[in-house]
Amino acid sequence: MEALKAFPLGQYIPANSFLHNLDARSKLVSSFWLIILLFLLKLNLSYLIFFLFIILEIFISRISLKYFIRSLKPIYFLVIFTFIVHFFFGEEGGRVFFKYGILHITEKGIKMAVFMSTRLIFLVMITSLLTLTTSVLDLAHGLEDILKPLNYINFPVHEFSMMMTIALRFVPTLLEETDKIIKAQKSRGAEFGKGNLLEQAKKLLPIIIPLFLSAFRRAGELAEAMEARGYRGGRGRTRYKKVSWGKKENLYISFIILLSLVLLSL
Amino acid sequence: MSSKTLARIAIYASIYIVLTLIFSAISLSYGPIQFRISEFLTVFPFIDSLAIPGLFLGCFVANFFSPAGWIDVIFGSLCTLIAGYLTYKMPKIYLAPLPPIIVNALGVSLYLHIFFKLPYLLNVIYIAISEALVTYLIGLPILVYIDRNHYIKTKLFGRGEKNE
Repeated sequence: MEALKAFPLGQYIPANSFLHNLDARSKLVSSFWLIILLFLLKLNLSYLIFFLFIILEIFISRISLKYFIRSLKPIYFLVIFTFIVHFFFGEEGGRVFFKYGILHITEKGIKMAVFMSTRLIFLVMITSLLTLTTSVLDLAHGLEDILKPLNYINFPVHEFSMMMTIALRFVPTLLEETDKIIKAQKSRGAEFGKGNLLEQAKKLLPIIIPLFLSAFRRAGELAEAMEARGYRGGRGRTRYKKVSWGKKENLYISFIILLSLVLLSL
Repeated sequence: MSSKTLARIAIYASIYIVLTLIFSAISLSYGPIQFRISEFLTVFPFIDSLAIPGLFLGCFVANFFSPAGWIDVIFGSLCTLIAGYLTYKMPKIYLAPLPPIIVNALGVSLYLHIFFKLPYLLNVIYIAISEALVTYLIGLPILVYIDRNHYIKTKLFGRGEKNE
């Protein structure tokens, strides 16, 4: 199955850039804030500066632009859909260019169409800047550190991050397993991707059941292996990779704060 | 939380991520015009309560790679969590797919409407249809099959192990 090779998880592209070397926590916090900021902006000069800022970030990430364009692929349709909805059926206001029944093209509608569809693209760019420059393991660890205060309300932060890491670790294993099962069923005469929706749905059963059986067998083995190695929760657990918050992170966060202040005051 | 519980929840999440990824290459897994095959897993809380946190986590991670990023990560996985809990509480097996259909249709459309000003009602209808197709055509038959097959049920959920 060719599709399995091209799966988008682990979009991480290793490189040696300012953004790559930043602590995952600073990137998580800043990308989260940038998305909130994006929704606070109006269609004026601040929006243009925001756009330039994203271009700058892409540039300093030292990642080829083609990866960013590829990450837009799943939303082509959504962008076009959003654009059309606002372009023809959007709010009425400003100069009216065209009107026929419920169809209408107005100045405000065109503005909203551009605004909403570019907002979607920016959103993807911000998320991609995070996932392309940070490995999934760093993301999981960073998230654990950020969520630590939730321990006080008895939210199992360590377990949450541990499960996230295990889940990610098993993605390639289960992908391979699924591929094997599909091939095994094909060699027994199964035909996938043919017939109507109902027939296709039925054909998923001989893939899903073996997948579940093998996945849960692995879960049992994993639990035994963890106990055999003395896993007993987050208390006193150390990490192979130490994270450090230093000058770079302070500089980056200060820049983001400054940028936000400027943009919001415009 | 025991290691076994932890591992099982993680595996549920992993299966959800894997299925989302496999089918995202073939069909549309993200956005309002989506047809996320992995959503059929949302019927599983009916027979296994560990599927509730498992699906929440799976949705959380899978949505990290969704174009809408953080918005989907937070609100999308919250919808899955609520739907999972309600499915767990459903009295009859054929009602198990209802919560994910209703919660996702109303919830996901709501935040898509708030953030992208997309037409609410249109999305409700679209998401409801796609969720209903996935859960009733794929999820329910699998659920019924597992529920009726004692051997597989024991293998998967370890029920009745003590009696043997």
